[in-house]
Amino acid sequence: MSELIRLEKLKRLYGAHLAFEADEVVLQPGVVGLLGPNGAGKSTLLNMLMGLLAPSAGRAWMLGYDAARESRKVRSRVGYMPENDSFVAGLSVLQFVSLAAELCGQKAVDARRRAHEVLSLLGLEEARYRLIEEQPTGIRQRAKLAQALINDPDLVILDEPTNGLDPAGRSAMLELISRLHREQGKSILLSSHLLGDVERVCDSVVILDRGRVLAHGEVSELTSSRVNSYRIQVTGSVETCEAALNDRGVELEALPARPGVPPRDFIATLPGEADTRLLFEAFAAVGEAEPACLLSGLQPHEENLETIFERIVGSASPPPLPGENHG
Amino acid sequence: MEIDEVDLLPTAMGATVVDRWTLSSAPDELRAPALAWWPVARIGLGLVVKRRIFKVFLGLGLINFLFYSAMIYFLAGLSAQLKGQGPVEEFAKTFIFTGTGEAFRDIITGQNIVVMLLLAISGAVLVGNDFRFRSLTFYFSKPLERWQYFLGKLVATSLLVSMLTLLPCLVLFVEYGLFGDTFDYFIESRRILFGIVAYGLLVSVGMSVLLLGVAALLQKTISIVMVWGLIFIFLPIVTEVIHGAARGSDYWKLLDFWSLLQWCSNAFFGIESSRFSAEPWSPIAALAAWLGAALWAFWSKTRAVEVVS
Repeated sequence: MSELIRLEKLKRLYGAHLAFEADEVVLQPGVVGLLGPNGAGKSTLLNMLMGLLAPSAGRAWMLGYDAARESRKVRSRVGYMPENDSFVAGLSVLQFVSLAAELCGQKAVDARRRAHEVLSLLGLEEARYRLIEEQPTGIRQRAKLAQALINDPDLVILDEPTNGLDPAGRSAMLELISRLHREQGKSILLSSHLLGDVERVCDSVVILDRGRVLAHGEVSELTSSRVNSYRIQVTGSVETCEAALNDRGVELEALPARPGVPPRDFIATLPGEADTRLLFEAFAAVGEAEPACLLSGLQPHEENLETIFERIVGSASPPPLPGENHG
Repeated sequence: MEIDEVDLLPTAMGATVVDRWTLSSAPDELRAPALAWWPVARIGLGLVVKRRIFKVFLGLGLINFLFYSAMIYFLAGLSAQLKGQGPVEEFAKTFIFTGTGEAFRDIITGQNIVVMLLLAISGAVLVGNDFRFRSLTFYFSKPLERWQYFLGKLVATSLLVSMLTLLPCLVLFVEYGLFGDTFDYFIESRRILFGIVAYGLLVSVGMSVLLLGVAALLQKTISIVMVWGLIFIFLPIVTEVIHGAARGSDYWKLLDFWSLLQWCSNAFFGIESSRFSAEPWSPIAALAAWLGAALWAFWSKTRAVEVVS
């Protein structure tokens, strides 16, 4: 498998509303996180990848298949675990998973054997003969994962797999997901709002907001894009401090402050091999002219997925309205 | 007892049994993709059949069948004993079972009431629950096309209806033929056989399509029962009243699904009827409109489903 997903000038419009747009995105096999607030375009992208929604323009390939023209082949090699409960009421866990196997083309006997195997793998031996809609959330989540794995897919799409699970269940589910990749060699596309979950299991991420791909790449690449960064606090004239630092090649990014108050917290990215002495020199020079300008705080800035997401989505989105929930 | 050292390794390392993951690859030999509708049909049928209420209605429907089956047997015995006493035999045949197209048509028509009731309560189980419990998300994330989902549901519902209409009627036809003096009945009654199959299929498929449309739109049993009652009880009464007030204009009867089925059954069995005097194409067009509307309802509801909600 060379490429997991390839998008080329893919666009989907609902009337005049842009639901999704991406120029060129190539994702390699592995565990990929799909991040974005509600309305970011995650569902639209997944529907287009599954071949259930026609793009307005451009093309998408998944596992080498054209998503629009070969959707059947795509769906036969992909396992999908939906966010919400989607069961056939009245079936036992075993019947439900067997049905999934049969829908993927397996014969009834093979489907039943395979269902037993997958249910055992996921620790659902005892629940297999019970009605699925009567099971607790943890078992229902595992049953949904079981039906996604039943056809031995190359790619498993997981939509909020830890929803409704307690901390222990959540940890177990993330461990399962990691092992699916590590030990079964499955590629995984994990759509989640929980950045901690994504960071724990994903190799790479795609960050979406308002229908646009804002960033994509390996988590390690994204987090290392700002090496030699420090979080600083300044006092005195912010403009003077900024000018002095910029003269020495330091890039400054203001962190959000209260409305109407000038920012005093910055992320300072130092040029090349420079170290913190550059900052001290800069403030020493500024202090001679304007003694109120001081470096009052300094600490290494460590980027994680949460800070990357906040930075990328925060800089692209308007500030939320009071009480607005971006989920 | 021998203990394999390998078995002890994971435990010794503080891991659990789950560490020894084994999952064989999925079987290579697969069913033809065009047959993907079959599991949908089988599961749908199974969900209805295992319900107690289905068994009640099946029993009710089969009472009619058992009655006619016993009568055919009774008539065969009677005709063997009353050789030469034509009037008595004729009387029995005329008033109990004649073996003509009308007789078989009336058997299927008589079953339609039970079929209507059975479908009204099965609609939610067969189709409505798939919308209410988001099963469609599950179905359409698999390599299953929308038409295959529709076909699976249609086959399940049609088989259910056939169990009460077409199949019992075919059994009665064979029974009646076998109890005759010769097998000529089968040769002479080809039109009747055609009528049974055609009318049986029309009732099975027609009412199933109608149910799929109504159930996809309404989803809950109570709503389906109400609309079903509107179509099969209230509308015939209203059209009959309007028909009377309009001094016999048969076009009003096109609103009555029962009348349309009756007209078709007469055409299939080759029975002349004065009950419907409208143009021959009009019942066909009306039936197509009913079924087209149901198909449109089903299609539009399933098109609205996206895998990711």
